[in-house]
Amino acid sequence: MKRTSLGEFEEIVLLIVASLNSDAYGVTVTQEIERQTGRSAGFNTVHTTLQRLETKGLISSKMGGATTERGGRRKRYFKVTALGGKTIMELKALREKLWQGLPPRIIGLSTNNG
Amino acid sequence: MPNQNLPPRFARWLLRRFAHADTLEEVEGDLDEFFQQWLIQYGSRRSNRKYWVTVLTMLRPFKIKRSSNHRSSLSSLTFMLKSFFIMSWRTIVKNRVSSLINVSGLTLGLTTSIVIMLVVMGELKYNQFHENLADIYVIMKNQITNDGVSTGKATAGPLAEHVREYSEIKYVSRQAGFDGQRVLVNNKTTYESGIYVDPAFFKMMTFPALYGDAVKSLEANQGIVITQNMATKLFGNEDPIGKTVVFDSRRSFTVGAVLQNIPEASSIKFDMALPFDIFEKQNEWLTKWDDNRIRTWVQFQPAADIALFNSRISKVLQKRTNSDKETLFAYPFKEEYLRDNFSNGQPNGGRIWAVQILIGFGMFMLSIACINFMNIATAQSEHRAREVGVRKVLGASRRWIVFQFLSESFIVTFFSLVVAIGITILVIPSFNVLVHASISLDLTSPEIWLVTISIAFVTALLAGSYPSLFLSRFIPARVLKGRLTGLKGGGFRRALVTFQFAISAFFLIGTIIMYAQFQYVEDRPIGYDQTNLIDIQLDSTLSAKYGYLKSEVMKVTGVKQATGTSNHILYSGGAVTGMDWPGKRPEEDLAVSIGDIEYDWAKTIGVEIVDGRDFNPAFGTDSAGCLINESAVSKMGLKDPVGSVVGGRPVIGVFKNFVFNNPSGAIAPMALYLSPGHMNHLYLRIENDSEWRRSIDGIEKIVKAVSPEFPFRFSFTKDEYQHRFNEIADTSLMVYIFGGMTIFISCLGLFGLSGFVAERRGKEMSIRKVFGATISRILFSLGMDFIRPVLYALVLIIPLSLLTAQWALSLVSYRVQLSWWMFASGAISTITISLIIVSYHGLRTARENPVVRLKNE
Repeated sequence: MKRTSLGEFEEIVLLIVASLNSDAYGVTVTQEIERQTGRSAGFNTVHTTLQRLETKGLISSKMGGATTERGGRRKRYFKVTALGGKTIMELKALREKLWQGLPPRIIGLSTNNG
Repeated sequence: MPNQNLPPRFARWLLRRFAHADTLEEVEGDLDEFFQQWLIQYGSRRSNRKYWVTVLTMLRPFKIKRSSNHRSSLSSLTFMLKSFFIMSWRTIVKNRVSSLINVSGLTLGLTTSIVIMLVVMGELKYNQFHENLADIYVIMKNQITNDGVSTGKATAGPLAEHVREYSEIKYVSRQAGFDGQRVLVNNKTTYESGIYVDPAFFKMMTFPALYGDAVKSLEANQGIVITQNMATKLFGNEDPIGKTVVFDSRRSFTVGAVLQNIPEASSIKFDMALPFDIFEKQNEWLTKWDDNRIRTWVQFQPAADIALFNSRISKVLQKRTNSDKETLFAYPFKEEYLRDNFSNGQPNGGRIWAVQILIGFGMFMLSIACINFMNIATAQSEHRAREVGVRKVLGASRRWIVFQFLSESFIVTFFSLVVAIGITILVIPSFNVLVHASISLDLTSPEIWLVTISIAFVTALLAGSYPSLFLSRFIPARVLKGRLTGLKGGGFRRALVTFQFAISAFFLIGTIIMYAQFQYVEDRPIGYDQTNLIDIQLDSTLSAKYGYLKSEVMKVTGVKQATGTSNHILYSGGAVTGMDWPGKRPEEDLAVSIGDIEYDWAKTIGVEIVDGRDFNPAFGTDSAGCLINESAVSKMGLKDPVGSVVGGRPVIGVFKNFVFNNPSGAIAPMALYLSPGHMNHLYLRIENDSEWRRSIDGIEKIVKAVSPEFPFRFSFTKDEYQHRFNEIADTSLMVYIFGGMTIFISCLGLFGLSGFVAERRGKEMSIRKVFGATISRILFSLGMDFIRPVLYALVLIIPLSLLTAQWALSLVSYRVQLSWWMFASGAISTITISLIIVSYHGLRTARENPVVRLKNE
């Protein structure tokens, strides 16, 4: 199956963009990552990742309307494309398949210990 | 006050300037939003910092608004310039090895040039701080002797009074020096050196006072002028003005002025100045016209006619001394430091030679580095030909192609310049220690920048000129068809390599000869025995009790012999003229070094008496006689020296020549008198055993008992003599370093060039190999390409270096015999080095499997 490869952080960003629905732009994505994963993400990393995902065609962007906030500067809103959606689904399917392949003993062990 | 609610302005400016233009708007907005939140969360200081950090991580300075070019209206000119820059950069990055060779060669060349420039600028800066420099002159004297005209700055005492009457003269000052005089301050004794000058000295020279008035304090004859260093040394943190200084245990002075420390670049150096009148009262010889020991400075009125003045004073001495062999003239102070050498009474170079040689060195070194650049660039021409062809087809004129290749050399040169400045800053401290220089790179000085950048500019122009003209000549139709006929350049390249190696071989041979000469002088038979000879300096108290001192010292175990002298054995101060000898013709004269000695001299020092005998207490009349050296005998032409009267004294003995003053100079005539009252040095011959330290301690006790305050100083004559060679070694070391660099840069170039040729002829060599050529045969064929220019270079340079060496050696009188091996070893090492370098690439090509290369078609 041909698919653009996706790094772990890219995957997180992609999922966050999807989860934020129509309110995904730089600031919200960065904050959401921090809130959800607990790890601090630099804005520059997020920004670069968003751009990379866009070139890969997994998300698309468009500029929001002008507002009086932020000195009148517009926001760039991101949205998951069809290809992006498909990729998320494929990833999920792949994970689930892999999880199901695990022997029950290991799951038991890991849950006991965790 | 910056607005607390806005992000740092400079950071935002950076962001606008250097971040991606496409996404700038939303990025700026996002960061603003973040900033507002941080303000609430962390406060303004931490938010500012966070904003800064984020902005800095967002900057992409090397992709300046790449995709926004279509928006901005770049004119085609700036677009073209940018494209040149990019193309040049790509070429440089693509040819890593050759770029590295170019950069390292140019960096070395530029580093050396910057260091040389600093040394030269330091020399040229000498004495320039005097505001009246142009009008200040020193009176000098030419004296005709049998050895030619000797020129010096020592003048007679009454001269100053005499020249004061000339209308051209504004100020006059006499100057004499003193050394190791006892100075008593607050019951603390030190021994200091300094000068005696007239008050006008401080009107002429620019030695600004920090406190007080130097002229006034000297005028009263009671004041002493000291520098800041001396003030700190004598008085610590106290205010020195008005304090009392007891000089030479006889006179008290009050400190009248404190000067700023004398600049490093001053040829007049002192820390203490006393009124000359004091010196005048103590020395009756200052009234004589034929006793020349002091310096006379004059400052002319502006627009005075110096030539007229010189014609008037030239005969002044002759009327007063009944000798027509001496003439006076005024010599400009601004020339005094750099042009201090006189030959036949005329100024003849001096330090300026060293400056010129250094500049020459720097220029040669840079040109060698430039040649590397030219050679490599033209050797690459095949690779670049197609690029030039395409550019021309697309409408580039030749001028623009020249420009493009020049921009390449400019980029490489200025990159090297940056590295060179860094290296210079790093090496300056060790360079200063190594050759005892005191240069510094003052990056705030516009002068230094101007010179440095001009050097780099000329270098870049020179390095880029030939390749750009050569490469821009290509005819597009031909090169695009793949035919490179008519593009030679190989001949010129060989000529350049020849030139490079000629210079390298010249420096190599020069270094070998310098080294040989240096060793030769170091091994020169001195004429006396330096081992275990100890010199103890005496002050006036010790000198007065010399007889007692000697008898006590002789009792110390380990002391074999002792004697006294007025002069240091290694240096002889003044020479006198006007001495008579039997058979002297009226037009003859000779400068003879004079010294006072004491009994046991020859025995202690170890000088051989070849005729007559040493001074002996058994003969009461010896104090009226003299000893002379062999040089005096031969210069005076004495047939039967012992018993003949020289300078009014009968000769008692003739001693073998021994080396004094300049270790490589001719041995001057010398006459020694018996005068135990004038001893400044006590010379001891001690046992050759490990007990010498104990003997010295014994002697120190005796000396301290006589003069408790005088610092006990002793030195082994052998060490002192060696020390003089260390000074010469500093200069030669500088030459070795620069010479080594030249050769290294040439080798770098040869390495790069041989690599190219080996690659280009690789296919040819593979075919030869297929047809059965051996490795050595291929190596030979490749090597000859390069060894030939090196051989031409040697043929060219050996006669030239022979002539130069002969000229340079003719300047010193004790010189090594030039011998064939010096040239042969230089030539052989040049050939060997170049063979090793060429064979590196040669061997690689020769051992290659021919299949690999022939397959690639």
